[in-house]
Amino acid sequence: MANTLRVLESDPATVLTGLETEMETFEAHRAELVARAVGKFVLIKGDRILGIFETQDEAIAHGWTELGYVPIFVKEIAEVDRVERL
Amino acid sequence: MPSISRQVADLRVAGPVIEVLIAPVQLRADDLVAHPVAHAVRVLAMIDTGASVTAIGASVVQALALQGFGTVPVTTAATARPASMRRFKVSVTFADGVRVVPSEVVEAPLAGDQVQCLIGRDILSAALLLYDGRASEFTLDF
Repeated sequence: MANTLRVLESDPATVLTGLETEMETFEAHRAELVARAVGKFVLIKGDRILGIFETQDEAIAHGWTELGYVPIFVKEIAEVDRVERL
Repeated sequence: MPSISRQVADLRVAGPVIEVLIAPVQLRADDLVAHPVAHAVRVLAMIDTGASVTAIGASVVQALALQGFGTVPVTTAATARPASMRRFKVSVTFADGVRVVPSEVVEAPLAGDQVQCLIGRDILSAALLLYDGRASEFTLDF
């Protein structure tokens, strides 16, 4: 079976995720969130913080229960983001 | 312990590839249980020990109408600065019914139409991987 080796089509830093507003909202509130809830998980939709949760699954479940199965933004509250590697 | 072995004609060229089924997973607050959605897509996946997370291509995201739950910064060998990639909850089912539910994956711009999933070290953290280049085969034990 012939396989195509993976390569990136373009600079992924330019890829839009559709969650830019939520990412900006998080960054605007990161310092205060870290001060009060580091290690917990924040749920954001648009420019609104909908809640802070103990676990990621709780935050996701709350978001999809309240809003339906739509894009949501859940992020662990930390001073510095963990960077993954591909 | 479920074990999956594959002999590949030219393992060096083809890489450790295997078919997997990917299905959406939804979480609901009433019971916090993952609910795999009925439909799934079968794709070719490559086991990638260089990837810290499992990734899927855009075609999988579109085929399953997946909805993301956030983003994560990701670096690649081709990029100097991290890029934000969308995150999804899915189930990944290997041959022999070995399933990882739920699994967090990122959407990566995978080129080509063959490999549409990279099995990263997040899934491999629960497995034993044997790569036998001399025999041109690999084995995954879960």
